[in-house]
Amino acid sequence: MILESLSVTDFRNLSAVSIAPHPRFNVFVGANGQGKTNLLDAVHVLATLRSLRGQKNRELIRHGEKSAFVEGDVRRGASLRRAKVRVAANGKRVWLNGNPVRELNEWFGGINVVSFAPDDVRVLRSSPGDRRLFLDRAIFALQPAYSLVASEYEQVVKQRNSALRAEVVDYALIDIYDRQLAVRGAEVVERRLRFVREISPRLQESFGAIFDEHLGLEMRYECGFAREPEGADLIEALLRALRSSRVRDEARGFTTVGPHRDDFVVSMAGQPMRAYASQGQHRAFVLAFKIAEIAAIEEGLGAAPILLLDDVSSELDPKRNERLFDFLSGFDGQVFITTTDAEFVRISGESQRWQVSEGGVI
Amino acid sequence: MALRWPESISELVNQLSRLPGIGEKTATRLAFFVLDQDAAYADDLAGALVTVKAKIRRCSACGSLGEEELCDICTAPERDRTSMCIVESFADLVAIERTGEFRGLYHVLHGLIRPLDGVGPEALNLPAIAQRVEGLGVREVIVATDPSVEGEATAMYIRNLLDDDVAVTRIARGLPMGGEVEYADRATLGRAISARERLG
Ligand SMILES: Nc1ncnc2c1ncn2[C@@H]1O[C@H](COP(=O)(O)OP(=O)(O)OP(=O)(O)O)[C@@H](O)[C@H]1O
Ligand SMILES: [Mg+2]
Ligand SMILES: [Zn+2]
Repeated sequence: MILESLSVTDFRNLSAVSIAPHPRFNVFVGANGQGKTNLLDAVHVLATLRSLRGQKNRELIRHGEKSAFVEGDVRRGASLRRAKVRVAANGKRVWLNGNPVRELNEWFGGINVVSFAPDDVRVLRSSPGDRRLFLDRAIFALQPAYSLVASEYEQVVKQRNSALRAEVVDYALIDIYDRQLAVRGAEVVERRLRFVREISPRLQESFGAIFDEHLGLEMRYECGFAREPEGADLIEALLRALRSSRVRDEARGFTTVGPHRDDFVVSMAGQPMRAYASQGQHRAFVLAFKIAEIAAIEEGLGAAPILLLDDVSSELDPKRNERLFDFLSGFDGQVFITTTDAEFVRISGESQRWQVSEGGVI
Repeated sequence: MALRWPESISELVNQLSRLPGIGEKTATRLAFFVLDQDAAYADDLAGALVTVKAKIRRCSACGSLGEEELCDICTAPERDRTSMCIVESFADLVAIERTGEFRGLYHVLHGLIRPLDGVGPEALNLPAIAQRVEGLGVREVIVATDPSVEGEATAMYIRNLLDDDVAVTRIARGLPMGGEVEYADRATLGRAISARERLG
């Protein structure tokens, strides 16, 4: 799929950007702090209704404004749709071809993006929160409707946490939140498990290709409330876990169990990569993961996703960087790349270069 | 940053931009519109604002808005007293009334349960529901809160407040996402009311 036009209004530091992206490579060049990442984030929001870094609506709106807009013409084969998102502090609204969207499923499935940011290279050594964001972003790319249930789940967690901190705790209300969390939390975990299951063979394959040998890469989801989550009744398990952690949750003032506390582990030849892998192996893992993600989307959707590569060359060593551009030259979709130095971007094919400066793009 | 507006203009812009959906740009445009009109317009506008606040009060039965102790719907003899629709706001009541699909009584909550914003069940017009339903002999309660998780939690809370022999249904489908009920067009809302779902 291809973004044929993109306009961004009052989104972070981008006050009014309107461009017609190239169908292949778009290279956004600019010094630090000019708005390159913000531009990629705008595309990510258009695709998944979620910020790349999981930020709140309020943080996406340009200081002093009440709402932000991202709008684009998306071509998928012969069909062209105009998608529009308005971000306000209290929620997002979406339009397709000028009509308000009533069913989000109508919206999702329109645009699929795969993103790659510099921090991703550290994901296995980073916090569980960063890993969940990394995993969730990949799932949004493949099944954007996931973002709806994930948002609802997070919203209920926040309400429950506040209710737990009330002067007089209303247990009837906590019961209701437990039921809401169990249903949505189970779906979140199921979707994560399914993703890990589906990505695993491709991940092993692409990791093997980068290292030219098979190191037995394994990715495992760790569910805090169900030791063997595959095939378990997750709604029941989460409901039970929430009930038995209620006293502790009330004492701490937050919800201590559920998918918002889960994690995943990647091991290589039986050893957790987090502790044992070399710098190069970490980089290779992320690259392999992204390549596997793209392959999964291409197969699932029959179309190449849009790639959002944020300043990646700065984090990859020359060898991995070459791998990346080898891969990209064989990839036939649309790519948005940001960089502070155009020298890093080794693109021979058709491309358009954009200059990003103080929230403007030319 | 060279030119600063006179204090009174920036005060008006400030006040206007506190209105929902009004950004600073729109507020500025509105302020200059008011400035361009003759003095009588400003008097009328200010008068209308003060009067509405002084005259309008909540119906002591259902919480709807009106100028009397009881609202027009609560006092209308032809309304069906066995059926009650619970809405988040007066604006939602008006939206549902316009569909013409509902002939019962209303109950206006003036909000949804949102502990995150400091709104617990006790802060809403909730405790009165059970007594009203029992007193009137209401047999069906339709909860028309919006399809958000807060709308759902509020609906579930209401279900718990009522006896099991009262049928409680919720309209949820067919509304715009993120979607406050008041934005729904008439046909959609009408369909949503006819297609209500029973709350367990
Ligand atoms: N809500 C907002 N309103 C206005 N400006 C914002 C907002 N959020 C972020 N910014 C500004 O956006 C700029 C950062 O933009 P961005 O992260 O896209 O930079 P970048 O070009 O990717 O830089 P780098 O090369 O350092 O990654 C900062 O100057 C920041 O102050
Ligand atoms: Mg950046
Ligand atoms: Zn009344």
